[in-house]
Amino acid sequence: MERNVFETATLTDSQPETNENFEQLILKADDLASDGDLGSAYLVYLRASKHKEFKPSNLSKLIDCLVENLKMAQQISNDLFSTLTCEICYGLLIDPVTVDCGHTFCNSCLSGIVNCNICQNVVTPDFNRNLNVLLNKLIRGWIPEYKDILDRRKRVEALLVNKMYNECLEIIEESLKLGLEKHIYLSMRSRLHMENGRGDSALKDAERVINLKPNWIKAHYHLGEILIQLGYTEEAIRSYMTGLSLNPDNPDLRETISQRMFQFIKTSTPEEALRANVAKSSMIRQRTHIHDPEDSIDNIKRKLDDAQLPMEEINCSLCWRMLFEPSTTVCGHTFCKECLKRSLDHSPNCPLCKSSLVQMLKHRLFSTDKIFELIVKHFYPQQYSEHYSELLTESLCVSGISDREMKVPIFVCVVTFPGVRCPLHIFEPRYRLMVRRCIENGSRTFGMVRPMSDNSYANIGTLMYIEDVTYLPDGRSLIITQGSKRFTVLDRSYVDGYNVANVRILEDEPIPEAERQDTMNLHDQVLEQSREWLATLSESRRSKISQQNGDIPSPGLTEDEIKEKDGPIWLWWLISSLPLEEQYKINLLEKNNLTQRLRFIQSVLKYLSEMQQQR
Amino acid sequence: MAGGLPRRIIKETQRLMAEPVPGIKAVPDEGNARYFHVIVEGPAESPFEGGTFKLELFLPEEYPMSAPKVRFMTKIYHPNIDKLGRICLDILKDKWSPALQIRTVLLSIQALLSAPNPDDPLENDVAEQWKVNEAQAIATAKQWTKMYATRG
Ligand SMILES: [Zn+2]
Ligand SMILES: [Zn+2]
Ligand SMILES: [Zn+2]
Ligand SMILES: [Zn+2]
Repeated sequence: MERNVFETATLTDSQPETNENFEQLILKADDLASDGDLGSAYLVYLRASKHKEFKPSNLSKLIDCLVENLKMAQQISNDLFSTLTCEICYGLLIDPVTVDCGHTFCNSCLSGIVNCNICQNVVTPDFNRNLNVLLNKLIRGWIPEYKDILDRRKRVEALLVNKMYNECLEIIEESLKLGLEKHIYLSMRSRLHMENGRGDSALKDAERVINLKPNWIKAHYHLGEILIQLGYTEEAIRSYMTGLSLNPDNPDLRETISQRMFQFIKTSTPEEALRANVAKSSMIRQRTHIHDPEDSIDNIKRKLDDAQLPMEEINCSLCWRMLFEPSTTVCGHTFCKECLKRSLDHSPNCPLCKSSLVQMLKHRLFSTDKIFELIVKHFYPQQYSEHYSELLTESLCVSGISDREMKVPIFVCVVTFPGVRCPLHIFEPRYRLMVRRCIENGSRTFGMVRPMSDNSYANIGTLMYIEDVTYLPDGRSLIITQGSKRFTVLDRSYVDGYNVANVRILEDEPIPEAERQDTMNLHDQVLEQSREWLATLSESRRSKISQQNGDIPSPGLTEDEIKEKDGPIWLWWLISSLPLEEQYKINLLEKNNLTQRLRFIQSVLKYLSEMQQQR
Repeated sequence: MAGGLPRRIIKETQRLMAEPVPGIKAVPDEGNARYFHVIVEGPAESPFEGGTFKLELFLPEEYPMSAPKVRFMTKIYHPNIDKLGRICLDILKDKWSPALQIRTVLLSIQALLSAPNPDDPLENDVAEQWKVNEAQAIATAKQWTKMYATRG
């Protein structure tokens, strides 16, 4: 297929035709590229490039398609050694630092990094991050060469900064002989060669680096830079492109490639463009193939195969169990994510070193420490999944026993009603935990009951659904809830400081057919009376009510609503707004008969209206 | 009780049984695993030497997120322990961290007996006495230890 394209593509096809519409050209080229016909697409882009509107961003579709074509089957190895590799330098994680998203890099690799190299998430710049204490300890324990590797890197870095190239070369050669992190030192030597005008040697080293670490984005980028300087633009683009195919979302690399491709397409002739068709496999330049054994690294890998990790080492200091969904703080301490959140409900400091975690809390940064999760799963896969299922049962929220009976967490606060909104301010640590669990397990539901004088709570309550949560920077939250079913408490217990209860759903008895008309009439009277009462209220009083309970739900009662198990919602809204003793409100909540509720409210409204007239 | 006893409390109890803190005995109540009967021996070279002090330690529902509640049951003459046996110890209050444990609390109480701190008093009279006339205070403490903390 592709070959055909090259044979049929004639030079006339690509002559600039100024009458062609630029937009259409780009669209056509994009279409061809999407169809996989990159040869033809290339020629059309070339035609478009003669227009003055042509911009680097016009090539984004082409870049996408090229990247797609080049995507290498990336080996995802799950061995411990690759887990402990830094994605930036592709060497061993030295002085590991875990950033906002939970990815970990060498401390020195992180300088100047704005976005995570793996997931592109922001790395908040003003955090004072410590080394990942536990990971650092484990790596040092597993890899005896750690100190040597660290010293070498530090020495070379310092020499480079001071431009002491000869001394630098000495360490490089020594490390290469040892076979310790060869790719890093070859890459460095390549740079030194380049700076001293030895382009060919630089190129050779750069290619050896790629042979060693074909998935190292930086190596492809570096090779691209050398090739550009040596004038091999097409090959440079191919190298960038290969790098980009390893992480197509890398914005910096993408930008560089757009720019380079743009320059190249703008200045090249059709023949050159064809020749440079980067998608064509035959165009891959003959590379230097040197067998580069990495003796020491192979040794380390072998040693890591037998690495041990006693469970005590990865115990969470809060729950005393194996770390589950580990989360590492800015101060470098690792806890189960859930344990850390619970601790922060009580105090905004690290439980181990007391550093302030206010910033972390403010940004709600509780990412899973990816490396730790891999390590824990690597050594204790079964325990990890068992822990998971145990946690599910422990972080109990609403769980059904039958469709009329269930177990719910209990919020002891005020009387609430079906269908009526209730905004709440969550500040007590135990309720922070409860609400978070409701949200995280998806039920978003808890039971609301009123406190009783004897330190217990009412027997009747309402299930509340959390509609919206706003977290405040200090971990408190504002939630908007809405009442649903009423319930009766069957039995009571505690979980982690808050109440839970087995409850039975409470619903109205059906109104007998014969009484329905009477109830409808009564309802209409009460509705009229309640409108009169509402009209007597002051503006400020009315706005206070709607602030607390929301606006009055559409009043009225249809045939269907009379059969509803909670009756019309507006009536609950009214009950909630009436100046009634809480105990009366609870009594009304408990009444499982619409007619009785209406009668009671009618008498209340009558009383209120008489009071009004006396005044 | 739903959820049962958190695994951490079970593990802490097991460890306290297996490797007790020297000079301290902490045994969970038979009826309530969150309630511990504690006996602390008065540290050597302190005014409390020779005494055995009974304490109660209770782990609230939110433990370890909130601190254990500890109280001296035996009368003691100490500037940081009041008449009701309440203890003035920062880690039992604002300095509590869930990374601490029952063992750390017991060790801290033992240390407090070795080194009373009249500058951060709970019992003002005692602290005053301790500052004005330490020798007298120590003598009283020894006397109280003999009177209240020495078994028959
Ligand atoms: Zn690195
Ligand atoms: Zn990331
Ligand atoms: Zn934990
Ligand atoms: Zn810390």
